[in-house]
Amino acid sequence: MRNELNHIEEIENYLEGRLSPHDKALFENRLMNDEGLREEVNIQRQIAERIRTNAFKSELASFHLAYTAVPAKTFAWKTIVLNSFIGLACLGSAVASVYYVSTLDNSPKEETKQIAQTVPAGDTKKRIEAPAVDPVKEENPVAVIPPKTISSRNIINPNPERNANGNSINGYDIDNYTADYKYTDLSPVYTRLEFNAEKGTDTIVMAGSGSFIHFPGGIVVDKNGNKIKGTVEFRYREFTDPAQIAFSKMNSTWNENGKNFSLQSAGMFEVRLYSQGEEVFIQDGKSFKIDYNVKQQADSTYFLAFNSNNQQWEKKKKVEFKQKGSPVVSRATKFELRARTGKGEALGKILVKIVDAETGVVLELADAHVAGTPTAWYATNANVDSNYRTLVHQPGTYDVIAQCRGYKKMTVKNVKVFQNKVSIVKVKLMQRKPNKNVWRRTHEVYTMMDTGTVRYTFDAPGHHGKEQKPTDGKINMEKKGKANYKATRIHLFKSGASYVIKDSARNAQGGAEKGRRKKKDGAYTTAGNWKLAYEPKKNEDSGNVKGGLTCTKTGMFYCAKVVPAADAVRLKATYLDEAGKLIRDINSICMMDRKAGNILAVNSGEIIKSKDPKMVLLLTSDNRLYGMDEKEYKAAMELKTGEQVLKMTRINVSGWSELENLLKRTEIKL
Amino acid sequence: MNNATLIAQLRSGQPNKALEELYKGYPTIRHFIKTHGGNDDDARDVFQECIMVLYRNVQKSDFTLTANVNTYLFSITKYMWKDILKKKNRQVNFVCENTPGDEEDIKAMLEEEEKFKWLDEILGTLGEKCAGILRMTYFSKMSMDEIAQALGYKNVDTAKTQKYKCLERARNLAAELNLTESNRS
Repeated sequence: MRNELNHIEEIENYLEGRLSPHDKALFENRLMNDEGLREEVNIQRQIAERIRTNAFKSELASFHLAYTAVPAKTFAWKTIVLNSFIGLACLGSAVASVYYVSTLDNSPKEETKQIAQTVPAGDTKKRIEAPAVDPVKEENPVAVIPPKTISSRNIINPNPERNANGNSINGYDIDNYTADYKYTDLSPVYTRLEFNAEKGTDTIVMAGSGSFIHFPGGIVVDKNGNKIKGTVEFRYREFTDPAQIAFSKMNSTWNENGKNFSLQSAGMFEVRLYSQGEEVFIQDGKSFKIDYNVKQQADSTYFLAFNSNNQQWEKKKKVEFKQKGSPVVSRATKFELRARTGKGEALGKILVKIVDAETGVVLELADAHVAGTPTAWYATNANVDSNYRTLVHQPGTYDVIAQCRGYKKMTVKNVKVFQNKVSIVKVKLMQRKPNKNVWRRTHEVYTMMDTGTVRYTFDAPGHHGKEQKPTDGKINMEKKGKANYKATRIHLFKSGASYVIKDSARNAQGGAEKGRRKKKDGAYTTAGNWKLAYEPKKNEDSGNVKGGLTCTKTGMFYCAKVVPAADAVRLKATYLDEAGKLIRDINSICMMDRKAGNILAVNSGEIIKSKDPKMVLLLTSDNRLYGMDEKEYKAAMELKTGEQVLKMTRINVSGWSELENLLKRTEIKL
Repeated sequence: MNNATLIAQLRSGQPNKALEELYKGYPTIRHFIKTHGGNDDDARDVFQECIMVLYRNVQKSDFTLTANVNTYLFSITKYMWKDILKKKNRQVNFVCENTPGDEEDIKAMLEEEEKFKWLDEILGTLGEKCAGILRMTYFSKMSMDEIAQALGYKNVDTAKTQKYKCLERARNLAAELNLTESNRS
């Protein structure tokens, strides 16, 4: 290992009490004399402790879940029962620690706050302060009736199909699944927001997942098609964890022209709307948009919507990534979902090309939108010149607005849209001439105060040196040398602008490096003036995907890689436990290809035979988890034809980390 | 279960048995909260916070528990609930038998929680791999051998390097953030 890493190891050994008395004394001696080392030890201790307490907290939350799932008076369980139950509670915690899932009773406010935040804050919407209530409890009270005895504690109905009626309101319905779903805590909880149905909301950021939702006003109707006025409740959740998808019971196969395909998950999500307790819908032909955060970037990834009438996924749109495996984006790739579904044939397109009037250069950062619709939504169309912005609208006559920073806004009136036709609009924008009364944003001078805030002045004619109020900003620091830090970039939260500090320009702006101040931790920051170069936002939000999709309905959606399953055969199967006894009351079976992150739901009494070995997981109605690893599975498949007899191994998971390993990627000894 | 076993189990990273023991005191505490202006949610929050206080204390090597653990939790609960009611400007009509020393302890504990919340931001950016490996180290107290095996690393050294790289990243981020924090304050 590198020296630095060895150094970290030594500190860890000291903190965890693994040093010999002699080494410990030596180390403590060094500590006495070395302030830097003390600081390092301190930070490492804090990190370790935080990890420990956070982990314990999630274990505690899942334990509490298990505890409250049973009436308090009958809590004098026998240890055996408790153990098996704790195992399952930990299964729940798998999700709890990732998604801040609420427990069976309401979750604390601080948990739900982390799920979502809205930007920019408008007065028409507010975060619902009430904690998210588990949908099972609220929408299907039958599901949580306390059982009579512990041994027959069946929160789940083993035959979900039978009571899957009643709740189904429109074509897409997941509530049916969650209502009779045993591991209620495994299914992600809804993020709930309220906003005015007529006004809509600009951007909802799902802090937990990094997805964005843009919801225009006036598109919500009730089941009779009447427009909803006033407050509408928006519920959103994502199924991203393998465990959630594995046991979501959602179909993971897809059929086209008699050919079978399997779906490899890149994320599943659900959108619902409610008004006064009743589910409401999107008006025909209207839509809202989602920037969905895709976990895996792959070819043949499709956007699908679930139709609960036939229990099938419907392919909506192919997802095309702009850059494959872009090294710049270390986090999950985000793309825009914006395809018309259903009413697609009734729509027409407007392509807008925006150029500089003098030079004729295409303005890449320009934005075009139809007057009266939310701004800043465009996508370059995969099939045409990427210099065009594509707007999709119903036939009619519209005004198109083109704008770009630094240019005069222009409205093109009476643009006609014909069904299935494309109208092309070319716009030449005039550069905005510097005006004495207008701030010229190209010459901003920022002063980094030693308080960490940013104070900026505009170097504009007639306003030289005028000071603005300190504004919210974040300064990126770069380590220079051993203890010196240099500011490299300033990001302003309010305007979203990002500025790079140009080193060479620094001295040109008089008064640079006014003074250096020694910070208590030994680092330096330099107060003074910097000239900043504006760095346009890299199109992060419109992501690495060409085109995208728009949701015209609420319901379940899936982003998945579609893989031909021609060589996968569904066989009849019998599942036995280790003692050779038939496993009854199967809740769900799934097969996992951990390398590809692929999960296939299998009907009970079935197994899918395919070339790739898979791990099989089986969950019974009374909370037992069985597994079969890849080797055993392969062996079983090679040896037998016809009806398969599969011997499963009981899995006891005693903690979140074990289950995480099991479900995600690691080798586990069964 | 005696106190020493309980403490050992809380330290072990397999806390379920200990929690089972601790939760025997929950009905009493819930009753107390509910008869003093709270509801089930308050009871849960307060009780879990108390267990967290206990857990943090237990991490200190010199921590000993002289009283019965449920008595201990109950006294923290009372103190904490009193504090919450006070913050809400509600009348407090019960007495806390805590000695002032204990109160200071609890206060410090609660402050500590606030103080180190900023670390969550860093830990959140580490990614699942790092989070898992660090959790196994510090919470589950697994050895490097076990971790390497569980996560499918080729050998212990690879796992070790990975772990310390994660830690290095966390440290660097923390140092950076610490700097901006101290600038701000």
